[in-house]
Amino acid sequence: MKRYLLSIAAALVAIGTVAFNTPEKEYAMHVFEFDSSNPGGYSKANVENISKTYWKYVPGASLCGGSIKACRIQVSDAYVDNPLNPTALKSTFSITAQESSPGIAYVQSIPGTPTNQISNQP
Amino acid sequence: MINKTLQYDREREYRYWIIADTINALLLLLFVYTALSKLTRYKAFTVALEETPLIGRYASVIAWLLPVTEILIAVLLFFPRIRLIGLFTSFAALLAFTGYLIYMVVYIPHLPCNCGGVLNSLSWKQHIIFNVFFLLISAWGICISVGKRTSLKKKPP
Repeated sequence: MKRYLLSIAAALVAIGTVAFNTPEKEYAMHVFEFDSSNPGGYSKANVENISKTYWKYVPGASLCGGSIKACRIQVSDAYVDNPLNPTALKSTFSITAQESSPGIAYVQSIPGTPTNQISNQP
Repeated sequence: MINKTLQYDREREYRYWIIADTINALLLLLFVYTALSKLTRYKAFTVALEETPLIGRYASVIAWLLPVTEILIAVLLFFPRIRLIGLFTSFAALLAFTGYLIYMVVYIPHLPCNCGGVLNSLSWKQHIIFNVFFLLISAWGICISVGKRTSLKKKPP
């Protein structure tokens, strides 16, 4: 039994840590898609512009898989203008973009991760 | 003289159990924690995997397979009789994961975010250091466990 003590303690600590770190509340999530049809396309400045001209609300859309150019981001209630009927990202929200090639940028970071999610396209 | 030798043997034995059990507990903590975090944040983990180069297309399978493997390793580490198998398995798993992380850092120019990962606050490079630490720990565990088995076999009846 003695030989199990440390193992049991380790397992309990792990379970406890996960339990206390798991968010109690599931936030409603909203997906915004980058609109590349604007002049400048996928430029860094465009990707970093959080206005609804560049980032459009696309309810229910799934995230993309890639790392070359901006695609969609998923944010929780706290980061949209109106959680019940979102139309744009909150004015205090910020997007940091990085160029993968000249004139083509991808989203590098946003606040609120890991709850908020970044997805770029290939 | 015999008493001193016996006392020395007992101290060595005690030290062995302390080190072996501590290593085991640390690895068990790691595997149980990582498995449970992945399962409790399954959706976020799957999305992050989808973004990850090389394995993105198998995201849905890996999102289950990885935590299940980690729980199996934890079970192997829990029971003293099969602990050595657990140590070898954890060493192999950590080696594979560290190799993957090194490949990503060296060859992939645009690394995706770690948002679905377990240790979210760690960067990719910090994650490698973290893994190497546990890799060394499991190698140490294997060495002392194998050494102990060999010395037990050598003991006269």
